[in-house]
Amino acid sequence: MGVLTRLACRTISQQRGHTLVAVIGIALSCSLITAIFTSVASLLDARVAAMEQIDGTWEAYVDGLSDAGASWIREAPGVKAAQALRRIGDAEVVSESGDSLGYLSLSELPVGDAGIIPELSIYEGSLPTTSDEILLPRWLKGHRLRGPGSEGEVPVNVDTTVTISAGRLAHRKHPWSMDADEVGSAYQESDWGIQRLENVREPRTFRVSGFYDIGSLPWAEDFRSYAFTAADPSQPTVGSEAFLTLDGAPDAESVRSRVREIIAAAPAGSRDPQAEEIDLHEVHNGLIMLRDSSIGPTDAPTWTMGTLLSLVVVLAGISLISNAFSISISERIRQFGLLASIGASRRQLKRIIYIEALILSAIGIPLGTALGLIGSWAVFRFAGEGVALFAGLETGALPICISPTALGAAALITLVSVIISAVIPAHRAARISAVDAIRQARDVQLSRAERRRAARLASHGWLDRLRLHIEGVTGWLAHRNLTRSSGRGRVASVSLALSASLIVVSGLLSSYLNVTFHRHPEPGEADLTATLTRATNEVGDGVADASDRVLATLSAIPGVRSAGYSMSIQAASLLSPGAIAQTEADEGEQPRRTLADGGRAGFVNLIFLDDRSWQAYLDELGLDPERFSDPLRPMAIGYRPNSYSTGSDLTAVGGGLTGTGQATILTSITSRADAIIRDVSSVDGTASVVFQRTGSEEQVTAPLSETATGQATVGIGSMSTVSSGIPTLTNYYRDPTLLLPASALPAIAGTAAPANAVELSQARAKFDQIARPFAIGGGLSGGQPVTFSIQASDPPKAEQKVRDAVSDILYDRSWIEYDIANYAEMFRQSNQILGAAGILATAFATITGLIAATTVFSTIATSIILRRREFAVLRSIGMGERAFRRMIAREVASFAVRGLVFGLALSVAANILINEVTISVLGGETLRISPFEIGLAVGAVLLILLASVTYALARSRTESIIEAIRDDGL
Amino acid sequence: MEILSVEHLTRVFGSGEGTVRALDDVSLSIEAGEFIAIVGSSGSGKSTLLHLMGGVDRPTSGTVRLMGEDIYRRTDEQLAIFRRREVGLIYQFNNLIPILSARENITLPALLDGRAVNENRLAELADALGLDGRMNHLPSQLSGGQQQRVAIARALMNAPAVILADEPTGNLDSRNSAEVMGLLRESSERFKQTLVVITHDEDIALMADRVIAIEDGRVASDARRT
Repeated sequence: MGVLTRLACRTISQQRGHTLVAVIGIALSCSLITAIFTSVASLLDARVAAMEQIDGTWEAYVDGLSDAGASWIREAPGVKAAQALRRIGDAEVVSESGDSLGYLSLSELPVGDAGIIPELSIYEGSLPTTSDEILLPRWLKGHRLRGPGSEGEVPVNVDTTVTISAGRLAHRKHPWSMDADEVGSAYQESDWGIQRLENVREPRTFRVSGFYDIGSLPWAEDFRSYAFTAADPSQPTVGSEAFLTLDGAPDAESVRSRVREIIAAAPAGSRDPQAEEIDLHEVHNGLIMLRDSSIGPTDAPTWTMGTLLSLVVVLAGISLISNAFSISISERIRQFGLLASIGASRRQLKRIIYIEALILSAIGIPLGTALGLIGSWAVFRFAGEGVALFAGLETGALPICISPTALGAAALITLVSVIISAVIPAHRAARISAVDAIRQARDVQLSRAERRRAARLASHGWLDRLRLHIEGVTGWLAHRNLTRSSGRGRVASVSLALSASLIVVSGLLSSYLNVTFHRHPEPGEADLTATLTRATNEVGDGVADASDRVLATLSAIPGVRSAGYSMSIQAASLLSPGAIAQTEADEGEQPRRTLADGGRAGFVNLIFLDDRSWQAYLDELGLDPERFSDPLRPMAIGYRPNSYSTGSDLTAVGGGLTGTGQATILTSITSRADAIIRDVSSVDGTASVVFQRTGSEEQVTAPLSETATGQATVGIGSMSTVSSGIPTLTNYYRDPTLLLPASALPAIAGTAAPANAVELSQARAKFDQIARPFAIGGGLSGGQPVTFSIQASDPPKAEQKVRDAVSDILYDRSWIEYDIANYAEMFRQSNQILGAAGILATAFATITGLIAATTVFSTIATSIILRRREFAVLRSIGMGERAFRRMIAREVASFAVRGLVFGLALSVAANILINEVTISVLGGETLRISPFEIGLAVGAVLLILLASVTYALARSRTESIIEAIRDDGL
Repeated sequence: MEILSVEHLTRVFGSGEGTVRALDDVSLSIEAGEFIAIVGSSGSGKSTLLHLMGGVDRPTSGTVRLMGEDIYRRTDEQLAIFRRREVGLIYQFNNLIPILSARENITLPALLDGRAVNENRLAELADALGLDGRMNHLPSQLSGGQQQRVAIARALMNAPAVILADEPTGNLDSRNSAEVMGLLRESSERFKQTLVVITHDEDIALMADRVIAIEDGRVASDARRT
């Protein structure tokens, strides 16, 4: 070991206090950076895992294989795992009305290694077990099919039959697998818009065994989706396709070249005779990019954030470590001076410091890395589910990804910051001259600036004398001490301020998260919603009657506390002048909506509620039930949501109703053969219908008086801002919104007052049919969605029962679709994510705060320890213990005040910044720093100072005065 | 009259293997107004003796009496007052507070006592010690000799009964040494102060009324000059 190294080691083992502080600083910084990078790596890893869960792990999709080829490729060298689909053929699906619904690609169920393509997610029914059964994509349910390729007499459903004549779709390359110029020319020719079905075979009849969610097969192109049947070697095939994962192909380019190599090595007979070639059809770019752990476009933001956070840690760490070094050197002035006097060069003196830095790093960095990993693991366990959800994983806690790159990067960053910390101290060490060793070696060296400042103070008497009179000797001495070492004092004050503000800000952030996001369903909010879509081309009960029956079924489910439904229909209507305000924006609004009489032409949302919910709502608003529940004279409640949380431009669009009045609902408008109805607006003050010719942009208008053939008048009897109790009401409606009971439907449908129940329900049914033309963007597949909201005492159990009930209901084929949302579960999950975010933020703030606190501790403790000789002199000339303590307390109080004032200033600035950013981006309430956080910060500051002083005084006091004066402190 | 007496004074430092018996059963009696030189080789225990006499350290056993009173019966607080008023201490190094000017260093004991500064005395001392014009300087702006003189002024400022000096001229050249010792001597005679000086310097020892030699923590010889 060289002599310099030996010196460094000896110093480290002797100056235990400083060594400890430096090692703590290094370990804390390293652990935090390690934790940050590990978290980022784990999150990104989890995202990959999540995507694999949803999309499968396949990297390449190859088709054009024969049966033999499919078997071969699964075992081919270079292929890690594979699943193959044996294709029976393609068939076009045509709806009853003659529209093409796209192509079905009939295949056998996949064989091979599991997980390469995602498992089929069954929506209804089950997997086919024989080759006479077929599993269809969900979107086919409820359709009536006709035409070449498939025949059906009844709407498609489980246990119905479909007949398929399968052929072969002319091969179409997917853009992902083409080279750039191929893509270009294909685009020119619109090559992939045209499909041709060849070699259509004899029709085959299948029994529908079930439906699957198409979302699970993301490679399926829009115009072609899969249908599955069971494996049967005897059925004819149009070739096989395989999904492969490869050994060691990290990016898209290498996947492509590998696959081409593999294909080139295919034995004879691997190619399907009907295919031109075995072809790489598609590369799973999304997954590959995500997996490519060097900076991919999706990864960059996460790594950037991690790096920014690390930067904060690095800054705090550098300040701590360089401080520790500086102090250590101040205590070793004599040692360095001696070394210089016996001939050590400046470079050698600097080297000693750097060697010390390296040794301390060698201790601190591994410690820090281990701590960081353990910490990450612990945090992920506690924050577990929340973090996993955030990453997109469906279940379980986030696994820790121990990435050597991440660990190496963290260690490197820490090492670099330690070295940076050592630069200035090393420089100072090198400047110590031999003379210092002999002359004033035992004194604390005042820098030139400090000397100047002290001299200035010494010569200006009066302020000093004043202070002397007011504060006494102790305060006066304290002030002198404080004003001398400004550099270090500033570091201490800043670190103190940083700690204080970190505490306040992290408290602020947690309250923000809690207040804004951490919610439970409010009373009146639904735990579950089930949206059922009613086919409106059905004869039979109108939607309101059918909904009432569903409501009864749902309410009967054990555990369901209450249920209701709402149905929203957008209808063209005229509003009377009093009902809606003319905002300035209306003037310039295109199209014009203001009528000559001051009224307004446009659309309204009609929201129909079940009777029970309606009565409860009337109750809550204190409105007269008789007036508002007369089925012959519909009286609506105008809904004006309370606040628009993202700015005022929404009100300008005309959403807000302002008063009572009347709405004239246009229930029947004569249509035109060559045009579709686009809008109802004001043309020169007259209410008119706007048509748009099919196939062009041209618009034609016609006054309502000429085209409207049916209308209903609905009074707007009251305004309400209340939405509780009606779970489906939102805060944002673009058009004016009227609430009505479902019993108002017949009157609005425009028939004569129904005389009896039969007429009532006929009238309801009629409304279903005529309301169609005006509903823009009404339900899916030509249906009317009705949303049932459910409050349950045990939402998870209730969800399953609701699902079962709803799928039974769907066997009544007039309900064609359903969607169930579990809000209770969503709230729980988002609370989990919040909790996780909160834990992570707190951990970060705590550790950074600790680093800052250690800086303060080290600065203050050392400044006291370094001055022990001075203190000894003071004691020897008769300064008593009490006076001495008062002097120290006065010094410390000054730090406390400075730290707290700056810290609070920083916190207020951060508060303002947070409010700016979050309100504008996310909405939510403004936050104010609460007394609790301030109290916490003050407490922390005082604690840090108290600890520093206590430690320092304890260390100084153990030495007697003369020891202190005699002490040579090598 | 006896002003200071030391009885069976013992001071042990450290413990176990590192035990050092700095003073071993030392007994002395000092008359008021005496000028005593304490001599001995390095590590003999002279400084320890001085510090114990000044109330700066606590003995392992034995007593120190100032005017009959056992000073170590006092509390720490009272000892501090003792050091402020009864005793003036001067060391070889590190006498001054680096951030205070000469004037402030000198008046510090008075300030700690909460008393007003006797400006006359201050001026007198400054003049006598040749510190005029330097009173607002920081210690770093003063030469070694000047620093010692400031330390002496501080020791004399409160007119203590006993002045204890540990190699006060160790840092100074012969001219300064002579001057400083002369001043100390003059002051002690004038104010009837007892002066105890640890020294290596033969000339100083020759100036003293009594020379006590300490060796290995014990009194080796105690000679009065006639």
